[in-house]
Amino acid sequence: MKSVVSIHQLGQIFDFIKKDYRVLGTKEENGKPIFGEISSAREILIPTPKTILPFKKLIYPAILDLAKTENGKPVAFFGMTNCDAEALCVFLDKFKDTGLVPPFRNILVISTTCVPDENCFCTAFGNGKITNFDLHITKEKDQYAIFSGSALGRKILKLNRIKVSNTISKPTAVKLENVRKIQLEKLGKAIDDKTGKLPFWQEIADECFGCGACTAVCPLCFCTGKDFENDAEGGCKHCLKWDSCYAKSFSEIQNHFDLRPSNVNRLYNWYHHKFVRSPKEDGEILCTGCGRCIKACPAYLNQHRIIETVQNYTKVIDKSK
Amino acid sequence: MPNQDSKFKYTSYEIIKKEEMMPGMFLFRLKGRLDFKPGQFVQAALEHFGEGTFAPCSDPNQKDYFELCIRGCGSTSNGLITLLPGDEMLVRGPYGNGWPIKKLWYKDTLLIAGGMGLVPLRPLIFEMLRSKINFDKITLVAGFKTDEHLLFSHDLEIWRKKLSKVIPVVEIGSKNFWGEIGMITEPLKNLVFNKKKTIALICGPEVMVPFVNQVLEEKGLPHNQIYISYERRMECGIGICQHCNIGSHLVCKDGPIFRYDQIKEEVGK
Ligand code: SF4
Ligand code: SF4
Ligand code: FES
Repeated sequence: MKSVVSIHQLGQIFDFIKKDYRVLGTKEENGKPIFGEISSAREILIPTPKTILPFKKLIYPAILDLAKTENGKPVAFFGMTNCDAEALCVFLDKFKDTGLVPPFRNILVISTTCVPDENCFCTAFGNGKITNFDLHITKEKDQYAIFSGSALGRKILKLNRIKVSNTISKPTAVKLENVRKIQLEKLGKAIDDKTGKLPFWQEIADECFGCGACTAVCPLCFCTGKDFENDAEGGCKHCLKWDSCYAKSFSEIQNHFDLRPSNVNRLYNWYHHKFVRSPKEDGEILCTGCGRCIKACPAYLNQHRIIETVQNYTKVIDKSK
Repeated sequence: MPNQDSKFKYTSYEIIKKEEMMPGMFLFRLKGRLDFKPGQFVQAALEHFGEGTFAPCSDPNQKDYFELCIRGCGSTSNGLITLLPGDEMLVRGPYGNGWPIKKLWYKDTLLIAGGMGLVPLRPLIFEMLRSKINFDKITLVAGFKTDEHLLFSHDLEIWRKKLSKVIPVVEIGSKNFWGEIGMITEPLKNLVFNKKKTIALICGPEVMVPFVNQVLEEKGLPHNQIYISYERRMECGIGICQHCNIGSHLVCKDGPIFRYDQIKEEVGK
């Protein structure tokens, strides 16, 4: 269902939501798009560019104090690309039984049209259809088209007296040029079966610095560690902290015995987790094709090309960006 | 401290006994009931330092206390071993699957332990001795560095009389040592067992496992009759931190005990 609203009506909807939700969304800060707290509809960027860091640190802070009971106010994401909305669902699902993130019912997703860049490849994994939203907003000249995708979304429109047209209409799917389909089953098998592919992984690992930047920016990397925060007064907090599977001691056990001693082991594990382990465990790959990791990599590795290549492994690595 | 409805909630147990088993290694007896299955593990925390993973090693039917065997080998464990009777220890868990006890019913069991690997097998032995009627032959082969490094030597002496066979093996040992001298694989090679009805349970250092498996394979024991307990880095114990995986499996959730045929392709991934 589609409705067309003015900027004023949009502001009204925003204020309506703001009353009950902590609103997070994409805004500009120092000339860069970032995810942050939104206090006025004016701040939200529509269409929405990709932020460098994803939403994850907002709902799951860098240091999570385990003594705090989470889930105060419900959270609304207002101004979020389709791929991030999808990642959010996977992320919340993964942590749903832990009490560490807000439960689904306390999350409202208002996604917005995205501004794809040269690193985007979400259509490689699907048809680019916009899904996973309560409301979806696109800009139409001076106005905004709003689509509702859930009962809650429709209710919000109704309570704001927004007319909903009866014709069925859906947001236009994302179209990306030059992005070929990736067959997930084939990709999973190709990664899982290491035979003869050691030189392939080694060649990539030789380029990779193991810096973990890709894991920091990925909306679907969520490795954590248990830790203690000590303060000067002798206090001690039990925390969870973000970790990276590229970190050297990630798989180290007693007596400094490291089960993934070299970078190639850790790098392989990253791809294996995203495209083999997680589909087996939870039925979801841990990649939306947002391309953040490609942008962030100081070694100019292109994770999209890497999975395309491993899928049809031919012993040649295309390093072109 | 994590709140009580958190998945990370701890229980504080009073230490009621501490025994030095060998230099730097202590057996702690903690007051209270821990409802665990043999082969499961717990996380014991030392505030300000960190957490370590330990397998309870006492009789799981013991209602008044449980025991943890802790060796100082890192900052957390070295801190934990300074605790004294009267002090409290923070423990969460148990986690993991535990040994497949019912699969051992009416079978011959071959227990193979390397060093500290005997720790998670000890509660299983207690449990098997309790309902001995359900199990046929029980053989224990336990390897240590020297005869002075024998873990639970007192228990070994008792089990020697109660189990079908107990073979301690040490790399270096004195003349009057009652076990064998050599590598753990030696007595295994000489062992006669019924490969149709024997189930082998292995727990020990990762480097030992392939050697043991090779011997068992040469003796014709099928891979689906071998269970191995794996040690991995545990941070959360509840399947979220991703530190503990072996290929597609999380050791904290799906393990720590795996059937060899189901895990062999995954090790090293
Ligand atoms: S792996 Fe890269 S492209 Fe995929 S979701 Fe993570 S950052 Fe985005
Ligand atoms: S960002 Fe690039 S260099 Fe850094 S760990 Fe990831 S792949 Fe390696
Ligand atoms: S210990 Fe955290 S996932 Fe297994």
